[in-house]
Amino acid sequence: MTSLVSVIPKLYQEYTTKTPKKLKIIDAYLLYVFLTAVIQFVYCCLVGTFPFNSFLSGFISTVSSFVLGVCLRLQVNPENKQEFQGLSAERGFADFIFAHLVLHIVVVNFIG
Amino acid sequence: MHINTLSILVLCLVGCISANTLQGTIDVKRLQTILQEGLKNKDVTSLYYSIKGLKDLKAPIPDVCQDIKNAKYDAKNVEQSFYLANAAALSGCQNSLTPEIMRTPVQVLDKKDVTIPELYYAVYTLKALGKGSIYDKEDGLKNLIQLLKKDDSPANYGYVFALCEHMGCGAWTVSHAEGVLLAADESDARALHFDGGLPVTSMLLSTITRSYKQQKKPSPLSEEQRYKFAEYVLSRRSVTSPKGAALLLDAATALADDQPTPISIAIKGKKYVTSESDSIEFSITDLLGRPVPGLKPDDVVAQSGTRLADDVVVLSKQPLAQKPNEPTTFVLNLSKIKAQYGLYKIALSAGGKTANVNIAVLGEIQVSSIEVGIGDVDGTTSPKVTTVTYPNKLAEKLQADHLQKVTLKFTVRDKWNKPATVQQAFVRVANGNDETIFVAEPDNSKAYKVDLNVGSLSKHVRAANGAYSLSVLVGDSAAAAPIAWQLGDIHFNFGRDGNALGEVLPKSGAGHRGPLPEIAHVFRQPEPRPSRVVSDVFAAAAAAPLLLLIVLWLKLGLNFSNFPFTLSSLLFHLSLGASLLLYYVLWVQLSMFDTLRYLLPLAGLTFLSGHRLLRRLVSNKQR
Repeated sequence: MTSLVSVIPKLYQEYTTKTPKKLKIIDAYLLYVFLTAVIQFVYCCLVGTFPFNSFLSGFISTVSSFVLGVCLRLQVNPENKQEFQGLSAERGFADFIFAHLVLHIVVVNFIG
Repeated sequence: MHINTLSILVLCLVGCISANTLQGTIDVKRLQTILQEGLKNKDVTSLYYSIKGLKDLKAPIPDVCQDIKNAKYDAKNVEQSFYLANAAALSGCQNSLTPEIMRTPVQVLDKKDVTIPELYYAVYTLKALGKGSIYDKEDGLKNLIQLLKKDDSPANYGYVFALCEHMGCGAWTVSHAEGVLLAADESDARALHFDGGLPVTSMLLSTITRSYKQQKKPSPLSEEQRYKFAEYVLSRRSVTSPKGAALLLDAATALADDQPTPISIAIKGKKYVTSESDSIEFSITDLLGRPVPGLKPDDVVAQSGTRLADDVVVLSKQPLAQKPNEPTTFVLNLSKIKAQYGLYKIALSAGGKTANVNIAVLGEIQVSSIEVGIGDVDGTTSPKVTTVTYPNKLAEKLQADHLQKVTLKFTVRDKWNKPATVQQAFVRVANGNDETIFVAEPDNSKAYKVDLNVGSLSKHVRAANGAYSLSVLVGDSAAAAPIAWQLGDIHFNFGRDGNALGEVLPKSGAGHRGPLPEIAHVFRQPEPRPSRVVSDVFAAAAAAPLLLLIVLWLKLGLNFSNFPFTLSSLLFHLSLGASLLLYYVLWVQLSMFDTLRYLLPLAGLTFLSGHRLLRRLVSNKQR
């Protein structure tokens, strides 16, 4: 228990100091998307799924955005340079934008 | 083993041959009625045959001279002339005829291409008018034989034989009759008749037997032929026209008068004995219902009697008694076997012929009492038993529910109070028009038992709770009186699955009449929506993380310091923003296809500008 208590601040400190700013920005975005999904899910549990396709499209939108965000973070992360040789961070961002455009045209079409 | 087979074979042979007696006679009274009715008919054919038939029966013939005088007939037709002339001759009314009638027959006799029937009619017309000796015997027969060569049908032979009777060439008939008899057609291996049906058969039989008698020769008919012709005559006994009746009488008389006559053995009256009446009457006659000549009462013997159920021989060589004043009726006393009811086969012989007759010995059956037990299906408690005696009903109204079963036990007894088995024993459970019938099966001690499991009964009676009437039905083909015993009512309760009695239950399709109820469309009920406040609050909550994101980004020190104010970057952000705006418009009003049409140029612009912007960013970094 004590170790857990002592680990968390250390972890946080490591994160704040060692993580590049760009990644922190992406992490903030991921947190935002994650929280939105959670709130939608809570609404669904408490109130009901009435406009079911709206709920689905909203939830799918957040989940997919989260996945795409994670992918972007993986590509941007300098530690993964070896994995994505020949793929720049900009290229990753362009893919991210393109995937989002395709995803959301489907989501908007489904939202009803 | 071989001996057994052989004896069975022999038995079968005896049975097969000896069973060949007639089983009925011709109803002469009925035929006479038809003939008397036929006299009223003004048609010459009916008139002739009616008078001829009545004459054969030696029945009185009323005065028909006026009818013959007024009779309408075709004077050019030799057949009609024949009918009229002979009717007049038979009834003694020749004076009512006009000489006109002579003309056609005379013309026919002079004709070149005359046929045998025409000759027959012409000759017999003239004979009836008293002008019969026109024909020359030797030449005539030669001519007839010539004509027969052209058409040797049985009918033509019949006419020639008849003409020979007139011409006195009976010897020729005798020499040819056997050949003609062999040409008779056989049907079902039982009956013989000639091509042409009853008229031809009747004419041939009567002319042949008459000719043989005239020539004082023994009859050419074999015993088998005799019985087979008689069988055919019997099969035609339901004739309705005077012609049919007269022909039938003619044929039957020819056969019956030809000794030895075919014998008919038939049961007269009832075919069963009961404890009250223990005898069966047989009528043994010839084809016309007359006593068989030369049959001594001692010759009539019941050779054997066997029970059909188990082939036990119950009587043998028992003579029958002739009933006083009724020479054709013989009585068989069966008091010996009346105690054992069942079906019996009696082999009865009379004058060397044997017939097998099936009779029934009817016994009485009784059901003295019945036990009605109501107990649990699983048998945990001993059933409550109520005993009812015949013909009482249940004293109290019994109740049974779906966890119980009703057991009915009864014993069928014969007159001597011995348990007996019957062919039919049922228990009927009924409610109005709905009824269910259960078969009662006997056990080893011949006690009948039916278990009515109330739970499983429900599907037979559509699970309607209420009172059901219970009855026991016992019957047997050898029982004098069957039993239908109304036991009374029993109340069934089918538990949860039950319906109230009298409730209208949906019937199966077959029972439906009239139009089906109209089907109105019902929209789906909208699902309950949350209140406006709740959804608004959650909409705000879902948007709230956006604030958090902005706060976090600001805290991280997000800035636009690195923003390159070039054309490509501006275009990229503008076109990306426009794309997102287009998505919003799609959500609000546009269709997917419209959206794609607008999106394509935007996407192209975004791609180009984005490509250029990002490349610049990369090159900046590398520098």
